[in-house]
Amino acid sequence: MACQGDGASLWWPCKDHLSDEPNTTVIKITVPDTLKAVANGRLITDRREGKGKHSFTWAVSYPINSYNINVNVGNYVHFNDTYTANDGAKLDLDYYVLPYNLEKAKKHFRQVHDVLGCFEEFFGKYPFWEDGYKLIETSYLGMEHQSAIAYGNLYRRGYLGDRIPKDMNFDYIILHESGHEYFGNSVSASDLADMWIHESFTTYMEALFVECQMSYSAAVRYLEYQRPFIRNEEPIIGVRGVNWHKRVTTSDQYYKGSWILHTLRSIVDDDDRWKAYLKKFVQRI
Amino acid sequence: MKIIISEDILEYTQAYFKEIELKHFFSQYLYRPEIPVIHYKLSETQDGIKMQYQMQSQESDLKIPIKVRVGNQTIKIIAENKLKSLLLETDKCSDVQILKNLYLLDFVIQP
Ligand SMILES: [Zn+2]
Repeated sequence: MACQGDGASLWWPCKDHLSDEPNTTVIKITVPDTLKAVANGRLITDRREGKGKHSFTWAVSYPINSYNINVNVGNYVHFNDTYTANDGAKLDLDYYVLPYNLEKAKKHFRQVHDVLGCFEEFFGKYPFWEDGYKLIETSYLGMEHQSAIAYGNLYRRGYLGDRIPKDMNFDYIILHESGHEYFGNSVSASDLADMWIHESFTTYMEALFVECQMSYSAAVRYLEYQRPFIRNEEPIIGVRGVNWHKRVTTSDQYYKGSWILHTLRSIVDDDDRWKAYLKKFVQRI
Repeated sequence: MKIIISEDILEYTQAYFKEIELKHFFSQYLYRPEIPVIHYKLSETQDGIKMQYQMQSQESDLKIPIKVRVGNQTIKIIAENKLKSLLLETDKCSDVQILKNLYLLDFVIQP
């Protein structure tokens, strides 16, 4: 289940506006005892609720966009890992996948270390440390649910096996949705009209990841893959206060925004300053 | 954790890069749908390659520095909404390469 754009009030009563986030959230879900329920934050209780039922209670310890609050119910198996930050701090990585994908997932999700490592280099440590980092297998492609990323890219490279240069091998959904933990979930827009803040920066982060893993020239090649998607049909900042939504056909908030940042970097023409600007932006704005 | 609007980013960015005027850049790229177009022409002269160029943008005061490789050197030209001309120290048009993949600009070469 994902409700970005339409809003969380589709499925639970809430003050449904990006400008206001609950400071803490508790999510309790009761499901048949053959299933697991996974939501944002930490699992704080896990118990039987009478015959054939089981409840899972999750607690989020940071402010969260209402559209990011999410539940996933399935016949999940769980495995975990640990990411070690540059300062030695340990981050819990928890993965919930369907049983027949367990072995594939164990191998495929190793790339999370590369993603978190590069993002730490550019933007500082993963912002929701206390809540841990999760990937949860879903029937849809993906969504940046805070600390509980929906993953449905079928364990393929790129975007369902495509859309990245042949010499690159990362999973687009892991990369893109993890980027949103910084831009989208940590630095958040206050109105749908400003959603380029989420998508442009995150789409540009994909190129930064390529730069971190390969080189700047490889990052430019990656950006060239984004370029044909730019349409220039409407301004990427919309109209505030009207629950604005971009036209369905355009993805300029993603690719055009990414190229605007790339262009700005070329104008600045000083890599160290550019990187310091990005890091300070996330950490201090 | 911060909830912001676009203008917070613009203010922060302009304050960070004080020496670069960014108002017209953001107006063009964030508040308008179109992107600038660079029209340019290369012609051989006795003294070298003459490069003429002009930006066409909705923000009339927009200026964008663009890198151009000339042989094995890289120079910067400042594109703006007026026709400009430059003599490049080379005798072959094929030695001149605009680094187009660094900018969100459309380029049109004039015959
Ligand atoms: Zn996104």
